[in-house]
Amino acid sequence: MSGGTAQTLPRWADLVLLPAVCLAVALLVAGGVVALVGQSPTEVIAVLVHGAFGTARGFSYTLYYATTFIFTGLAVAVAFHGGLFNIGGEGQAILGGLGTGLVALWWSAFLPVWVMLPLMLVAGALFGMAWAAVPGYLQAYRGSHVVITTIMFNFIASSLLVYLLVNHLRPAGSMSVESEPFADSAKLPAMHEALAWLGVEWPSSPLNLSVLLAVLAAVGVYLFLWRTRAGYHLRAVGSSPGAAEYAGIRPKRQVMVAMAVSGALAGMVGMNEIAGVNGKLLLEFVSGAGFTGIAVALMGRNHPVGIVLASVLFGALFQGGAEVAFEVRGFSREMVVMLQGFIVLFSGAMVYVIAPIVGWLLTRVTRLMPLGASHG
Amino acid sequence: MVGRKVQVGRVDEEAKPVGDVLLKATGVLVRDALNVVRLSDLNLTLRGGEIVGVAGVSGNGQSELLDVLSGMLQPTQGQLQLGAKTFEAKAWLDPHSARELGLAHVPEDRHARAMVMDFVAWESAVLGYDDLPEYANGVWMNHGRMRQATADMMEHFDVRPRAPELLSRSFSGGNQQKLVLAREIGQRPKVLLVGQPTRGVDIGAIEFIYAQLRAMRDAGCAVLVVSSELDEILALSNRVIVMNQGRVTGELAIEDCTEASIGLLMVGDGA
Repeated sequence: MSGGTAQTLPRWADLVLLPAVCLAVALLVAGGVVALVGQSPTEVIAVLVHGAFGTARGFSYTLYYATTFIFTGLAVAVAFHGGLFNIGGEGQAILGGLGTGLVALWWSAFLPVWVMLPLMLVAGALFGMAWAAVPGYLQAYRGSHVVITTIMFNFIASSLLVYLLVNHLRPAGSMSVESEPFADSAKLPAMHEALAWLGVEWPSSPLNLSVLLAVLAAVGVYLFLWRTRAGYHLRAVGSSPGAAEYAGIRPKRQVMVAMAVSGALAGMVGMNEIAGVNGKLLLEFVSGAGFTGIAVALMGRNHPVGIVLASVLFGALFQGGAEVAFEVRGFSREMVVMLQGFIVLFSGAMVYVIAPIVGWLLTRVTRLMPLGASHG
Repeated sequence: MVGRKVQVGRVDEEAKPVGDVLLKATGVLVRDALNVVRLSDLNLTLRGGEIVGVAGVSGNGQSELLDVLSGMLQPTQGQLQLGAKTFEAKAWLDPHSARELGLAHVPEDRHARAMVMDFVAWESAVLGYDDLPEYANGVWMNHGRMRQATADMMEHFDVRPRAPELLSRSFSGGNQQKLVLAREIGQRPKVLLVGQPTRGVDIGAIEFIYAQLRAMRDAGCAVLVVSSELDEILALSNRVIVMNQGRVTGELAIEDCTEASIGLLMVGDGA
């Protein structure tokens, strides 16, 4: 299951060169479209890059978006290594946020912050895990395809959140569909606050300490997949169910493990969006990040390092794109979505077209170089 | 072709006394998902120090036999005695317990079972054995030891190239098979099940693999060889059982084996 066509490429080319070429082609094509509608591609790119990375505040926003994508991207990657395509990151993130939010609503008034935050994290992970475990069970023991069930569970999760907010969690008399704000003990410190304690001045932004949690999660996923026996079993099932069965690994159990870990990772989105930014439960806090996670995992070649880099790229597209829509006259938000679409297309689907070309060029180049040396 | 004389035929050897019963299957019946009988009334005894060959036209129950004995397939009926343990159809052996009880299995299908083709060689070389104390630190894998053990396997079994970091799929069939054999023999099993030991393997490696199987036998291991190559069965076995339509149609001491006698049993005409 892992990267069928990229086999001919050396590892470094598969992990670094190929994504870079895909990104370049995507930007080139997008630039062509931008030129077609009568805008200057260079200006758009310049504004985008400056908006995303040029200022401390812009960079903070980029990292804030990236945090959520790291969680959902890792979720997709873990399931993928187990041979499963988890499209339910969206729903699992919604449920995770719900878990985080419910714990905060119930106990933030009594419990201190150092109890609340771990509790909210665990609740979010457990809710996400439980929401993914149901499709996992249906796949493993009932043969219902996980792609279908996880998509359906996205809709159920979204409806469940609406129902709970409208009918139970909305304060009496309030017209907006959101819960009461949490007490202060349920607030994950923002990065500018945390840096202020250390004496560093930083512009205020939604970026919060959950970005560190996301990096820890990436390290954890790496250790789990490549350093533990459990991860080895999971990858064995994902690559070759027959060989895994021969080795005494039970594939059904591994399906459950993959989905549970995947769901738990997606469930941590709530720590960024609910605990870190909003401080209350509301609708639309995931807003498509579950699906962006699929693109992130594809682009990151299902490796934690790649996923972190791809998350920053997509974070930059979100932040820089908003900046472009604001700064460049006649360049709408939809054009930014198109740009993202091209990147997903070229790093996801078209990678199988581009990989052989890159491989061909690479062999040409490597063949020419030693020849030149030996004849020289 | 290999630059030296190759010996893949039968090696003349004096008859050695066989040892204790190490594996005994009784009355095994296997029905598949469509309720078709794949294996019926199978009785088989393996003793230490012998190689038993299973002959038959492919698809007459040999694969199911290997799967049942290695714990990958649960039979409908039957009993299995492995070492001191006895298993009933309801609570059949599983591959993990089989390894713990000293049963090793070189599967017929190298690509779908014996290795994970997308794993690097050292990851495939510990497949099924990652819980061994020398490979594991609790939940963690000891990569250093695994790499070292793989390098040793490659050295002893002449796996080329000696590259533990190369993808399993990048090795030739013969070298893949040698690595699988090294892994399975490496834990000094009491019972060794081998399916198609030399399918897709070059002639030099065939000679080597035969020598290894004979060495296992001489060390007191009970070896079962399933092969679609009659010459291979005749070259290796001490006795031969012949299967047809899921049944054992006959059992011959190697002295009584001729192509004609085995051929008749293969088409189910033992009488």
